[in-house]
Amino acid sequence: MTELARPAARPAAMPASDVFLQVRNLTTVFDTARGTVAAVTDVSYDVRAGETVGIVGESGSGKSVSAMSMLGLIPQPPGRIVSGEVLVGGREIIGMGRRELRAVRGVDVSMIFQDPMTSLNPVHTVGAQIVEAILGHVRRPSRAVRRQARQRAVELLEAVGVSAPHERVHQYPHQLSGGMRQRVMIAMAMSNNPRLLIADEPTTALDVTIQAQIMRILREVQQSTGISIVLITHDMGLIAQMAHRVVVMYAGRVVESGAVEDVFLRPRHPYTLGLLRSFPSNAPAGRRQRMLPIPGLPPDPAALPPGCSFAPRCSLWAERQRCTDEPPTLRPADTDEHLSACHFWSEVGPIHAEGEVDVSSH
Amino acid sequence: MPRYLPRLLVRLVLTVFVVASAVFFGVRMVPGGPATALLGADASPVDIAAVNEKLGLEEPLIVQYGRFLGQLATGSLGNSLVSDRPVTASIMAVLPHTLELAIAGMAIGMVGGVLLGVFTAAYRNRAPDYIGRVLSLTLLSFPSYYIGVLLIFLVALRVGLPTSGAAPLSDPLQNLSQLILPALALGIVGTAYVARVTRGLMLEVLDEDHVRTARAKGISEFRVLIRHALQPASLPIASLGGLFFIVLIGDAVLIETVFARPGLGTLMVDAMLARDYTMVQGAVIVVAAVIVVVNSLLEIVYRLIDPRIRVK
Ligand SMILES: Nc1ncnc2c1ncn2[C@@H]1O[C@H](COP(=O)(O)OP(=O)(O)OP(=O)(O)O)[C@@H](O)[C@H]1O
Ligand SMILES: [Mg+2]
Repeated sequence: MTELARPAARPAAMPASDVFLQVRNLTTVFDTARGTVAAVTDVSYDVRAGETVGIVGESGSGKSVSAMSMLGLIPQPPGRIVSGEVLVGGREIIGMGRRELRAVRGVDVSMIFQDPMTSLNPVHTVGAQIVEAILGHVRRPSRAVRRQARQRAVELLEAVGVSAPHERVHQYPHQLSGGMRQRVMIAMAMSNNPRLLIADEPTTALDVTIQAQIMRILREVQQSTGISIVLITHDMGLIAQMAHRVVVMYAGRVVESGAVEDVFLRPRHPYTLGLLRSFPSNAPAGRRQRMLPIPGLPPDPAALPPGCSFAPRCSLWAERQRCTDEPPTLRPADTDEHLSACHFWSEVGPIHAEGEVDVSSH
Repeated sequence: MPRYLPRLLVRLVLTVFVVASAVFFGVRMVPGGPATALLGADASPVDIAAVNEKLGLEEPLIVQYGRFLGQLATGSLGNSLVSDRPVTASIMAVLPHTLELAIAGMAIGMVGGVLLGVFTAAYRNRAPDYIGRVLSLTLLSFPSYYIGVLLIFLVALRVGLPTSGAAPLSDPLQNLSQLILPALALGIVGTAYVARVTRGLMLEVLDEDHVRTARAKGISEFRVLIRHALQPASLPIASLGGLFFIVLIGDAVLIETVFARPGLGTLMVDAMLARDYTMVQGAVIVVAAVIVVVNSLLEIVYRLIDPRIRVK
């Protein structure tokens, strides 16, 4: 595999404890015909250099909106970031001017999306699209710079395992398979050696074998460049394989966050417990785990229940007043690093006595 | 030679054949026949016989049709009933005026419309968008000949531009001064129309995933608009151009009359008034051929725009 990082690029990795991304109390709303709807409420989390943070939650829980808010990619109108801070490498992103924001996008922070079939421009070659990602940040590129960019596009494709990259650069997206396109997306995202890659359900639209390949490429990219990854997914299994830390979202809020080992072995929010119980286990064949879906549906963001949004679906609730009266805030549970937004977090039990969930893979 | 060229040629020949046949039989289905239509219901039998002989109408229909097609194949459209001169000569004399008017009108409509459409789409649901949309809706509600009349009163008479006639291309300044207002009259309504369609197409593409990808790359919003929204939208815009051209040729007839400008339109109107039906028939066939040729050229443009067609 060719090195993704160029020799003369910035240092490949910061010290492991260094926080690269800080999201603080982010709240994003949409002005809709039915009134103002909060898609993301008071979301906070950190991403350290070189680590992978998984964001999980059911559909509509605000995973994509929180990620897009970080790059100013929310359509405005109808979207609006009402409050909060997003610090990228110590610099505040919210309220940045267009031009400054543009210099962050694709350079410090890149993003890849769910559906590689529609995420590439159908009328330009993949090479041209990668070259554009590079030259878009160069003022009046010279001939030599253009040639270098074309050369780099080929190298990038090779680095993400695209065969015959010299020919592929001249092809159009419709000539490539879904897996190939997602590789192109990754190559494009890596073209300016960013420090953070946000991957919004990068494999949901792909079949299982391709999914494994893409995940392997992401891991290799991380090893060779020291990039931080925010991996958005529905799939707890993927989190277990890929992430160091996990942020669980429900109805636009973070309900639990912490190291993957801690959260998976000892979830401190009944919603997380429900998620862990509801996904097909990767336990050895023969020892099939019962799948227990969470009863009910996620609430309508325009009409959230009072108090804890999860209470109506909660297995612990038992009609306790506090759950419907007092909205829980995210507070340390067990350790300072493991946070939960449940009043009764200490009552949340383990997944199963046997603990089928395999978190030993990293 | 590109592989699609023979197909385009076949289409041209077929269309001209169908249009010519329709005109041929249409004329002969008039009650009492063309001679009555030409001379009026109270014409004397002697006059009618004379006209019938001149037109070859006493022969069996199939013979007439064969001769008509044979003539057409050699590029002849017969002789004028009024002047007895070849119809093709009269048409060729005025065709350049109509073509340059239509092309200029089309250029104004497409360029102005695409610019306005991209602009309003870029400011979706904000003040410039509302202003642009109200403006285009207003313009759409005026027929082009009315805009022509307005241009004569409001512009030509004040600025001192000529309000009639046309000059050959060999005299570019004079040509332009007589072209600009009729072309504007033709183009303005087109601008409004193209702007509305372009805006709608742009908004559709701007909501697509690949535009979000482009923005996430950090390229300029201008580039996003042009390369990532307008370019994918330009295929349907170009095909709209083909339809627009057909409407435009029809409008050109009216505009030529308003501006007393020589051209196919004025030629046809004069021929109809004089009941010079070979001339009308010839002009209709030529218009059909022009429309087919223009749409075929546009098809070549599509191939340049969209690789998905090009690769197939
Ligand atoms: N353009 C928009 N206009 C109005 N509401 C929106 C818009 N985009 C997102 N939302 C709302 O924001 C909320 C969060 O959406 P988001 O896309 O972040 O969910 P998600 O967690 O990414 O879900 P999924 O797993 O389905 O991708 C949803 O309730 C959605 O209806
Ligand atoms: Mg999403």
